[in-house]
Amino acid sequence: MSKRTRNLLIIALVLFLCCFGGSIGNPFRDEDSESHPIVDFLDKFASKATAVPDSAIQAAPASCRTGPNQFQFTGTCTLNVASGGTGLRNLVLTSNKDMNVSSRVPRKDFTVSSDVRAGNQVKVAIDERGGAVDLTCAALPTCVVTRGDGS
Amino acid sequence: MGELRKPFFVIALIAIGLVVLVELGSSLFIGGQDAREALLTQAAKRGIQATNASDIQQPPGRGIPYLALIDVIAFYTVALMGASLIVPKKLHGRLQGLLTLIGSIVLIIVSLILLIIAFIELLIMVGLFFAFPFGTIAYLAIWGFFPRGDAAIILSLLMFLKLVFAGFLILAQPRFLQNKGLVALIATSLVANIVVAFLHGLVPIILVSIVDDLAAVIFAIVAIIWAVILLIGSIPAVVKSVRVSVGG
Repeated sequence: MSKRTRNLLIIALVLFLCCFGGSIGNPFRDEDSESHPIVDFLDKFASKATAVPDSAIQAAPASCRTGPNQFQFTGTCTLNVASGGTGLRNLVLTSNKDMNVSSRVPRKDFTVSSDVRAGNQVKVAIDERGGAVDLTCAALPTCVVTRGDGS
Repeated sequence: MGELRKPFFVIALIAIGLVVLVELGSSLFIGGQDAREALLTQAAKRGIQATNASDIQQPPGRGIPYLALIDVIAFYTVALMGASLIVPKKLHGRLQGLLTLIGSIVLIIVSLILLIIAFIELLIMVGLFFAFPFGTIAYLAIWGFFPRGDAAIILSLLMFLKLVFAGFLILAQPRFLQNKGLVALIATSLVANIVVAFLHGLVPIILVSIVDDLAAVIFAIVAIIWAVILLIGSIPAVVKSVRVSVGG
């Protein structure tokens, strides 16, 4: 092996080790960040979940439903989404009052709930199994919730 | 330059064999630990109440096992060289082309299937992550807490084994450096190791699974490219082998 080849190999080895060490112990990482440009870029290619159609929703009590895509209630109302489809679907809701939304986590068997401000749109991810979405109105007298198509 | 130093060559062969085995078995060492507390912390940070959260585990990831798609080519190449020491030269010459042809076709098919699986999973991950709050919490529950430390240990072990492989291969016969294909393959393997380590270290912990899956997609594509190169390279040997057989 010539001296030149040996030197090249040593330089390559040092470069590989430096790159590897620097990658493992990256000191510039921001652990508190909620996103990253790479992930934001990938979002452009991600399949957008389709919206749950009105026909797949059954309100309980039935009096909750006041018309197509509209639900009005005092206290609580449960929207039962029928099973079906492949992949995830979004139940897109907007309320005129603050409310709490509670639903089973897609592909898991536990429930999460979140407070939603009046006028803000909330997307409830629903998997193939469907499920119940509990809406609790935080204010009196009534909440008027509208289903959207997510656009 | 001298002859092939067999003990060094055998060590190199064992090292690259271990690399493939560690990569394939990495999911046994990475992930599986309870991540419930981490999920509850992340959920609370986002104003989400997660009740009765159970069965929350660290994911094993796909990046490291997918490295095997590239390293199996290096193992096959060196094993084929080793076989020439045992198998008669005439038989080795005939079998080499045929085995490479079959092996590369199998690798293309396997890599393509694994590429589709990783790509679909990547799209699901990203789709869930951005569907705040219910999709995000689902993402966090399934993939949110990648065991970066465990993965770093495995990647360091792999880097060490790959350097042992490359070093002993050169010690066995410095003329291997003149084989540009082999050098490019080893460089690809080392760079792939750095790429997955770089991606793991680049993003916050909750996003590591996404970039790990991205790395898996890249490795599957690289493996397909290498398999196609092998496939093309094997055709002349197969044609020659067929001609010799027909000619008697």
